[in-house]
Amino acid sequence: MSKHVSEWLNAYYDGELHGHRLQAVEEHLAECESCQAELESLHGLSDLLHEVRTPELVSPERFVSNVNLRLPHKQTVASQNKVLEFGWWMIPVGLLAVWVFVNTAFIVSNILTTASSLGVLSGMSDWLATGPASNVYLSTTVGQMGVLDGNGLSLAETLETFTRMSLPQVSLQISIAVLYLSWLAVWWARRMRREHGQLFEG
Amino acid sequence: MIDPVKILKRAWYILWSYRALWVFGLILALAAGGSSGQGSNNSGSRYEQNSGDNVHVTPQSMQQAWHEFQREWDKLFVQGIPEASISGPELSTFLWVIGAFVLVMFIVGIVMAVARYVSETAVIRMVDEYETTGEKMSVRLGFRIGWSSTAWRLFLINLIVNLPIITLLLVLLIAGVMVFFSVINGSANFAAFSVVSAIVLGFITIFVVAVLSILLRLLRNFFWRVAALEGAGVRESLQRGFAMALENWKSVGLMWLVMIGLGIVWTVAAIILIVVSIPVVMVTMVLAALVAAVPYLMLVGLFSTFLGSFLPWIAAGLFIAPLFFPLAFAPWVLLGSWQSVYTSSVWTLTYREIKALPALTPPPQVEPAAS
Repeated sequence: MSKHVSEWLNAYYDGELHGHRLQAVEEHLAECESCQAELESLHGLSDLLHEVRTPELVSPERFVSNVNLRLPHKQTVASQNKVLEFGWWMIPVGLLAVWVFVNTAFIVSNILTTASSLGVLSGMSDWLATGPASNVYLSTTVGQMGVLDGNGLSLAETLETFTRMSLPQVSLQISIAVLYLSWLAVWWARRMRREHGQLFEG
Repeated sequence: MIDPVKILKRAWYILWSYRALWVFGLILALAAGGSSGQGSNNSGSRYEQNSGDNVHVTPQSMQQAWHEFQREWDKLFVQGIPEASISGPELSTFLWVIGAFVLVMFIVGIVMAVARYVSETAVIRMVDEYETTGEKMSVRLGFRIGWSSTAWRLFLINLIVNLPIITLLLVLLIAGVMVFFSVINGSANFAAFSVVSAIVLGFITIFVVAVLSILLRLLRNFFWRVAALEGAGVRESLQRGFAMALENWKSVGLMWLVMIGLGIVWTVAAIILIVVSIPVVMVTMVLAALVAAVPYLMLVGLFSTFLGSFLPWIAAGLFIAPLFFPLAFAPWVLLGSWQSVYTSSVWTLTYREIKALPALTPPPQVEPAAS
């Protein structure tokens, strides 16, 4: 019997042998029970390795996130009142819709004012008029009382007209912004409370 | 769901620790004027019809006004402005100088647009690279990764996102022209009907386009990042970005709502910061004046060779303004740059988080083997 072929068995098993060497190993295996047994054990080992699930390498970032996900969390209590929850999320969306609506109204209003000042709407019937053009009641009263006159009065009138025209828009924008920020603050507080709750439970 | 607070904190850290991003932020602030969170820019006036003292516009009156304007125009360029010792030919030359200025500004506009999209690409990729490898890039390397076909794709995506606004302007223009002609040519009843129709149509169109634009600008964050980080084409970026936002609409919506709130806070903070930094701006204005003085005087000398009176000073002022103002208001531009970098970083981190979400879902529980 020829020399054992243990050192070539792995290569033989992987199909990496060719030609002369392959022939020699096959011939030896045909007559050597010891090498046949070794080859069989290689088969077994290979099958075993195939059965074991190989771990996938994950980035440290994902590993940390995975660990976080597996940490004990407070079970999200199914909202008993889904309508309330839905309403809660609709608050900011509604505020944004109101904001867009208000701004659209002001844009259309500006276009109409410009068109009117250009004389495009001058032929229109009176129903488009929204009221007297001059809304400087306060300045007029002050002027009638003799407190202001001349340039001072005209400046006061301009200021009053500007304030009367700008005030509604500015106050609306501020109101919407304050309401939105209030919602955000409540959201933040809820989130913090939830986190603290988890921390204490953990 | 993603954790918005974690993302905001991380973006805040990146903003202050990664100074190379500020350079691109400055370009973004100069080119885009602060890319997000702009409010409406209407003047805030309410519609009030004047009490009938308007001139009724007719085709005849318009024609007459046009002829009058032409006559005055011709007179101005023949006689000049004798009170200011400016001759007609000098005024014509000045008009050419203004034309040259418009041309220069057009070229500057194109350069700034290119710089804007290169910077957008650079900031997105630099933040992503920093998050992946932890390595910070230099400004030069940032420009190198920004200067790519992706910048062009970002431009195209932005164009598509802004299409509704362009359409809106066209619709309003057409409606305006139709109303104008119906008022001056049609009967009173028909004119009233067309005006009311135009108002209703205008209102609905503006409202719908505003809502659509808000949504598209939100989606643009994802379109851009798919293009910049995945190397996808325009169509693919739109499809994948939309699918991603749709699939994770809760996370995206939450982040969006938080960012709007942050935008409000930023607006208030910016007003305070602008007021507080006025003394600094005054100093930078003096410095900008010193820097701009020499080129300004050189330009005045150049224009003096073919312009008289005070015209060389005005012409030189026009050309030097694009240099002077960014320098003079540098502190405010810096504020804008921080906002641009922070916003971009937040959305890049959001994109990364959302992309990582499927990999973070817990694996299915393995049933114990029966004994």
